[in-house]
Amino acid sequence: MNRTLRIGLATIVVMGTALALATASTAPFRVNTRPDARLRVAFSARPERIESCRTPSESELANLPAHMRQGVICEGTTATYRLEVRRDDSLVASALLRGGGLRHDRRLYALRELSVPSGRSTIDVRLARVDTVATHPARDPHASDDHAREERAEHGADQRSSHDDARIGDDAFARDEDEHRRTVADEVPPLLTLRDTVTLAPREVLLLTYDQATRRLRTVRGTQ
Amino acid sequence: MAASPRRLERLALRLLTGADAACNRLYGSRYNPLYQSGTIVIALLGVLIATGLWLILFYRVGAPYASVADLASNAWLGRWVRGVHRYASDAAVVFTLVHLWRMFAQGRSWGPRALAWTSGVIALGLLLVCGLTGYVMVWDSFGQLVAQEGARMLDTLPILSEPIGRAFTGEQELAGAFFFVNLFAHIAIPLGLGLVLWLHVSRVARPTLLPPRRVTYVVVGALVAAALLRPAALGSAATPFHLPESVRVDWLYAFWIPLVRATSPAMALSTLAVAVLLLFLVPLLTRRRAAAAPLPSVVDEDICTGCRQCSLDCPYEAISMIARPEGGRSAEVARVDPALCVSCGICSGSCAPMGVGPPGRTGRDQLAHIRPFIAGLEPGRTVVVCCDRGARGWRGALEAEGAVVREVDCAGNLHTSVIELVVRGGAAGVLVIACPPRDCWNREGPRWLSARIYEDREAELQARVDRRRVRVVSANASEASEVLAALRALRADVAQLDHPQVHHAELELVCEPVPAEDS
Repeated sequence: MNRTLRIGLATIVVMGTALALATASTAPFRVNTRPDARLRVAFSARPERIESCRTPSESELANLPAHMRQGVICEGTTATYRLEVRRDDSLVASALLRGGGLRHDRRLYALRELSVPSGRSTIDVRLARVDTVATHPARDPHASDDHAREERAEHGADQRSSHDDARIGDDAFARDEDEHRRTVADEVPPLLTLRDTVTLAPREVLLLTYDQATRRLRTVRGTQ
Repeated sequence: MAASPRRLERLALRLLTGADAACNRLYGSRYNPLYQSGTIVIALLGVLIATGLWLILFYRVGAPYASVADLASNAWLGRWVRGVHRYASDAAVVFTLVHLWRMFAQGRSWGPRALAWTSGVIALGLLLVCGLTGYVMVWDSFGQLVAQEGARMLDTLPILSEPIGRAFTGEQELAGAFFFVNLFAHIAIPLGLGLVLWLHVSRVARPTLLPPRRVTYVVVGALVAAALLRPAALGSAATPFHLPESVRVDWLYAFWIPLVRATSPAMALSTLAVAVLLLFLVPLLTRRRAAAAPLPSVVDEDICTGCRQCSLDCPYEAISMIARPEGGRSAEVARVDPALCVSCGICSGSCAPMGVGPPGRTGRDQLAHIRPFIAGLEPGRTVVVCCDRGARGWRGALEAEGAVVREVDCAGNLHTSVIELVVRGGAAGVLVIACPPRDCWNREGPRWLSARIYEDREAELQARVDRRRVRVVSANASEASEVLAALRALRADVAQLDHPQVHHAELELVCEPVPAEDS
């Protein structure tokens, strides 16, 4: 092979390889061949606590360090929910949701991608608590303020009168209550429903999510 | 269990030999890019750092896509730089794979080389992860696909209580912190890569880190030309609310995405994990059984003169000089570390008094083996001494030409006294065929062989040997025509000389020890 031919061939091979590399680097890949739209169910929420609560005895409180004394002691787990998604009244997804983590005490989440035909359709989403939640009157967020005050006063009076060291002050109780109220306010309601009629373009994604601020399910589209 | 990897090794070697020969024909062995695969990767990393530093000036974490789109729309400012950056990263993957293929095919993956293999696999992994973070940085449709599919795979691991994939659903706008962390990873990973590469070459002496300049220029020039002719694609801006019908993907980095989509994230992750595990297990799978494993070199301390040449020549820094325990003919004596010795035998050729080498392959063993060969040698014939690896490609052709072929483990091991003995035994000429220098399985064999024959490096070919009768060439197994041409040229040259004389006198095997005060 003479030198000129060799150099010519060598150049062609080098440039051919470089362009092949460039082609492999930007090759088209058909990721969504079907024109279906997509329902994306994605949210996270704090599940309700299923607790059994009791008022600790004075001797129990006396045995605890001051900073660990609670007016009401609750033990339990979190509720389970059933998520159902329907399109034009036919079920397209159903799942049981529990809180995350090994003890299921973290937030629950949903992440589902559902392929649906594009066009006009009615979407129903239902998130319903499966378990029954029993709430101690002292921990019932819907209990009247008067009732809570009475409880607190009763506890406070008892504690003050019985053992000064073991008493739980009004402030501590109020803080405990506040914290609990905040937690409960974060919890997802026992039943959430959403019904919306939408027209989905081919390959459009409709996000079905939970709005923590309004405590409702809502749809989100790209234009929003 | 080791039978299948060995078969795979042989197949890989056959393919590699053919590819090497084709490239040698086009570029010559000095500039063969397949021989330079490892050094080209280093050069490409240099290109990536240089172009990356330029690109980072224009990148905005708060508006990733917009900043890259600005860059991509400006031909003078950086469109082509971005193309070079992208294609250099692709080329780095390709050449890393070629390097990996070469090491596997040549059985250079086990024993003391296991560290280099393992660190090489880690380097490949880091390169891929770094590249993927680079694509996510752009946040176009491909970057989004990489992030989404990668998250789907990682979410199958029970690590986090909430899936990573939720970050890309559109519930909330992707935070700038995400792109900042991604950018940090894209910059930090190459630092780790540098550390791994240092480890990669830590067991070799005189590592060659860069290819010849001409190769570097050609590689960089080709990447620039490709970037100009075919600018790097920028997909549409990522949005969680629209599914792209088609995405331009980089198959060298996104080869796993079709697997995730065709099977399941868990299956894809398992498949990748198995592939990675197999790569890490290669040193174990290809390890030679005790009986077949070549033994490390040993030093005959009674013969060692403490000249240090073996220590200097060892390509793996496996030989050190230590003070001689009980005094003797020299202040120092060579000591081989079996954990570092790959049994390449280069030290056999470097020791003038022939006191070091793998058992059965020292200079003295070579002389013992060659004597019966010389006894049967017909005076006036041309002897070809060659690496047994290359010989299988052209032994028949050489013999058909009337040459007498003598195979050795590695021409780099060859003691010059063997050449002298063959010439004194009546050979008209001795043609030594070594592997191409960048393809020596023992790294520096051809280099030291040439230096011993032509440059009087220690254990040199004695002055009394007529050098016109000795020639060293390099060729791989597929280069029969080059080998035949070299044989014919040598024959033509020695035909001008007197008829060779046969001498059977014993050889003097001496080496001057290093003076004690220098040690």
